[in-house]
Amino acid sequence: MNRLISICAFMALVAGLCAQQPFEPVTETFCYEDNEPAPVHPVPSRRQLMWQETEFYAFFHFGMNTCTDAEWGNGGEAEAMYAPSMLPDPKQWLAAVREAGMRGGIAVAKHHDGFCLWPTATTSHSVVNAGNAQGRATNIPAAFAAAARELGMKYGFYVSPWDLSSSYWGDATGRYVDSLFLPQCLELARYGSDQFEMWFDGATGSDHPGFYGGANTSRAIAVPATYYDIPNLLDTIHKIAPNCVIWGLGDEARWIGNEEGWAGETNWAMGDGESGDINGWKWRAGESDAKATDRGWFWHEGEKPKPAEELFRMYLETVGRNATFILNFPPDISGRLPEADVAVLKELGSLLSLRLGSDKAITAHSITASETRPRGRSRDYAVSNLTDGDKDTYWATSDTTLSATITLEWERPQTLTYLMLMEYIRLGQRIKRFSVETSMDGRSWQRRAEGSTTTVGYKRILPLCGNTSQPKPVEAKYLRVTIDDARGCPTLHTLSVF
Amino acid sequence: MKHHLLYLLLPLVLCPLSVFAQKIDFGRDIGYRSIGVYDTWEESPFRTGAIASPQRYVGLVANPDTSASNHESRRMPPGTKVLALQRSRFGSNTFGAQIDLSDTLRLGKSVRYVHLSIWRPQGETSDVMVIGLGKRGNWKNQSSTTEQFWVTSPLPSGSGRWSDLTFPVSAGESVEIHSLVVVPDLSSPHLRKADFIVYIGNIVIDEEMKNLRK
Repeated sequence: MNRLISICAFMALVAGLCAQQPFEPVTETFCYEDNEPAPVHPVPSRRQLMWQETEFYAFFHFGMNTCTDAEWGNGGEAEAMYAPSMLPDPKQWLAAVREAGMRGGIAVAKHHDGFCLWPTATTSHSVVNAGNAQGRATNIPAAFAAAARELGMKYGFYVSPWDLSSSYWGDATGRYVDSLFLPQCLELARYGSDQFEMWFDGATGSDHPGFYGGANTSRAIAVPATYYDIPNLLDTIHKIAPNCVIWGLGDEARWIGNEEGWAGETNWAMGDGESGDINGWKWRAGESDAKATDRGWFWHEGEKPKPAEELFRMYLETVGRNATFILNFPPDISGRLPEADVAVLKELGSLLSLRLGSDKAITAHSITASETRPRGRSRDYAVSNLTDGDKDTYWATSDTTLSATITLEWERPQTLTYLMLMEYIRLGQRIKRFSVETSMDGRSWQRRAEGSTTTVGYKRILPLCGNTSQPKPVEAKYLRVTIDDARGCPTLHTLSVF
Repeated sequence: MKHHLLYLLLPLVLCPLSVFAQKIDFGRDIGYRSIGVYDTWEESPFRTGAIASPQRYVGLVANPDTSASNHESRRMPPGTKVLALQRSRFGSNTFGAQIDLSDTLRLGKSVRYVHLSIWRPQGETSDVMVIGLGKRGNWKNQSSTTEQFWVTSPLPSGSGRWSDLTFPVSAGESVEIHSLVVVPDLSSPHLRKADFIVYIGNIVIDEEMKNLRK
């Protein structure tokens, strides 16, 4: 009996200790190392930061629709209809886009039609049953990953959650996700732990009829994030590919809101659409997807690439406005990019190199700031950090200073066309409004690009004339950037002038 | 005889056979195993160990505001004992109190509603969020603190008094929720010079979407 009482008393004591957690406000302080500014939340995760540094990359839509001249198939296409005239050559694709300064590419592995461009174990609706030898030898993920590594480029895959071929898609069970979509994503993730992005298209059924295993009907799903069990899908992919940002339905990056190749001049890395939302709680930087050719996402006979000047303007209005830019070049039925596309890519690369390749800020006679944050033990915030070519050093002001001025002076007048600013976004996106002026004598100043100068973010490329279509240069011996307002003390790691 | 049988059977027909409800009562230590703090920010000093004793930022206290106006006609009074959280200015905008449930919450396909009361100092009016931590029930090697949902209150929360909030939550069919995180302040704390204390009252999870605000 005594032993029973002792046991009960002990259990009551333990239960009491667990339940009663006395609370006293904590008065400890915490200092950020090296006098770094406190982050302005939300901030990007490590993988989101790495993803945004990719900046400009290619989209490659190649597959069943290339052979059927379609944009959206219906899922009932016979496997034998996939019959490219040659074995697809992702190395040729990536080598061509690298000439345009692109740092990587995303290849379609499965589009809405459900035909898998790799020998998946999940379905026979794949290259395994293609219509010719080169079709059956196709393995886009394997070839694409190998080519990217050889060329020193980043890579990832587009895999459509919506699957018109599957009888399970859209039904009330979890069979589609558990037996098809999740295993397919895992197979694709295993093609390389170094993938940088997986693209989950947001298109989901509705009134587009599909094969659906012979049902030949229209289907829709109510809540994609729940239907595809996105949180656990991401958790699984990230265990294999930790730096892979899951775009679209994965919600680690957002669709910029159009397919025309532009972001808002004001563009926050939170919220939705072309401009984002300063009050958004989650970091969701925008990606702008656009076609480089004049027909569809897939190749079609007679299509032409858009002029390089138009693509350059799109670059300014995406990469130059705090978004990444994924530009689509569709391989043709031979599994190669057409020569006309290859030529435009070379031309675009030349334009980028010519117009944004020679930084005049590093040759400035002086660069000064109205204020500089006091240094920490092993880090300083000097204005010289803006032109040292190191993205991990940055200029900043003191905590209570939300506006500041940076002035460049050259020994002789310069011909200037573009200003580029890059915030140190590891600590959040801060600048709300800035202004740019130039001068010939340091006394009389002329405002430039008025009306365009709001947010900066990861990167802002500003034509000094304010016009992205026909940028005109200005002559100046001085250039002054004034940060007029910010959410917290401004931080910039790069200032360039072209 | 037939009428008596009918009177006996009628209540069984009219009443639902089962009504889902899960309750966390801090006063009676019901519904939860432990409390702590949580931050989604991977470089948070509460995750890196830079703040050595994160558990000191949360605890149970007597309800600091038992004024009658705060308790009349409430469907779910906050309770005599409530959870206190020190909203640290060194946490992110998703820093909150983690409540580990004693019973696993299985949402299935249905939308459920998390009802709670929150007390914040006057002037603290930013959005409040509930985060669900859990895992797929049939995945053995997955962490049970995988983030499953993030839901802000559809309605604004007042300050300087107890406010009732309702959060519609859902997840995949096989998902089990093991913990809830209540984020009392979704704004960035970078300009704050001091922390502040929030109080979280009893929590009910059920199928009723009824708005509890007066």
